[in-house]
Amino acid sequence: MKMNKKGQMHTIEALLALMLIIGVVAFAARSAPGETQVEGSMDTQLALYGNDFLSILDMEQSDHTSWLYHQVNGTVNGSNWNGAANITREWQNTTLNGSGVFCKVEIVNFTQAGQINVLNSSSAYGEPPQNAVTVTKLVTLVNPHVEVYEVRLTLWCV
Amino acid sequence: MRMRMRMRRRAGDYSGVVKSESSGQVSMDFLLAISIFAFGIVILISEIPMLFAPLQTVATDIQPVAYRTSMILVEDGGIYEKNGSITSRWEDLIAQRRSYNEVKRIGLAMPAPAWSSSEDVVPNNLSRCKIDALQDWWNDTANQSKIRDKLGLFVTYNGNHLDYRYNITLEAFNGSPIWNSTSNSPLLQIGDSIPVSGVTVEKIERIVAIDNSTNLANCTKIGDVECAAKLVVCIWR
Repeated sequence: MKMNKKGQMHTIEALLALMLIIGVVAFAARSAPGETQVEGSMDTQLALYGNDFLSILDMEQSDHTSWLYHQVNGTVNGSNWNGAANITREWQNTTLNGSGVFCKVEIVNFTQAGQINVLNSSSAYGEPPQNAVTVTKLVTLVNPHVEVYEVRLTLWCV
Repeated sequence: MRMRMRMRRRAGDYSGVVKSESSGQVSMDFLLAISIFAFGIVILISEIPMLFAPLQTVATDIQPVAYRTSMILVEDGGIYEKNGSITSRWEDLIAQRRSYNEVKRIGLAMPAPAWSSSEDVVPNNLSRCKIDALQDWWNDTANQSKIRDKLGLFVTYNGNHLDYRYNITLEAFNGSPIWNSTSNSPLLQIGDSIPVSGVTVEKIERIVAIDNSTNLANCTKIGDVECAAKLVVCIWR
């Protein structure tokens, strides 16, 4: 058998070449921008939608309560009151879900260890993806002790 | 002999040539070179946006300007200043004196009621009086160019004048304008027509309440709010 000495691509050389090519491709993939400008704008828009929506629900009445206050109070102290589902229904009134903007609503408080304790949840559109945007609103009940709850609205766009 | 072979090759006759096994293979030198070249191209492409970023301040600032404009309209009541006295009720004062120059900033948020825990204005709750005043201002063609200045859309940056174009509309959630049945016209629709192509238009939408829904069509009820809508702000240059 004749030995070939003229730069043939043998096994080791092929592996080296493969590693070089994979290295270039991996480097190019990592160098590419992770998010486009459009996605960045969408995050801002989702955060604004969420904050505006919760601000409108929490608009103060002359008795210093709000629609959102009553939802949290009903959920915490009422029987069979589903505040998260009611908030989701108000979101559906905006018809933004028709534009592909979906939401998940949670009413939570915090344990003494600082962990989130979900009291009530509504996710009519399934679980949010990883790139969803969450906005929150604190609601304070005096019942008769002061208790602080958090309404968490998670929005995403498909 | 060599002379004869060259002549045969020129004529396309390779029958007498013994081909080497190394011909047509990719050599390691070539692979290394192409890899280094590819790395260079990738680095160059990834750096290009950053290379030109300092020269593109005008083109890249449209989104923050749209965001800022929506913020001052939705979360601020505006400023009217004359002889050192300042108030957010600019709409009353220009109605009395038509003195647009004293308006330092336009905002649409309603003044906070006496019982409210809000300090000055109620964010996200737009005053019908301020909305009407702004639409009247736009309809006053002799003074409508001043709106651009009061919204902060004509600024000087590094000695260059930046003139932003705008279109601001109050829309229902289905996209139709909030309709004022009294004047039989859109409640708020000011600014230039949005160009179809050729420029980047940045759009920000805010969900707002309108404090007085009398004779308004296309409103949506959300929570305790009788009239909720979208304030759509479009900015371009």
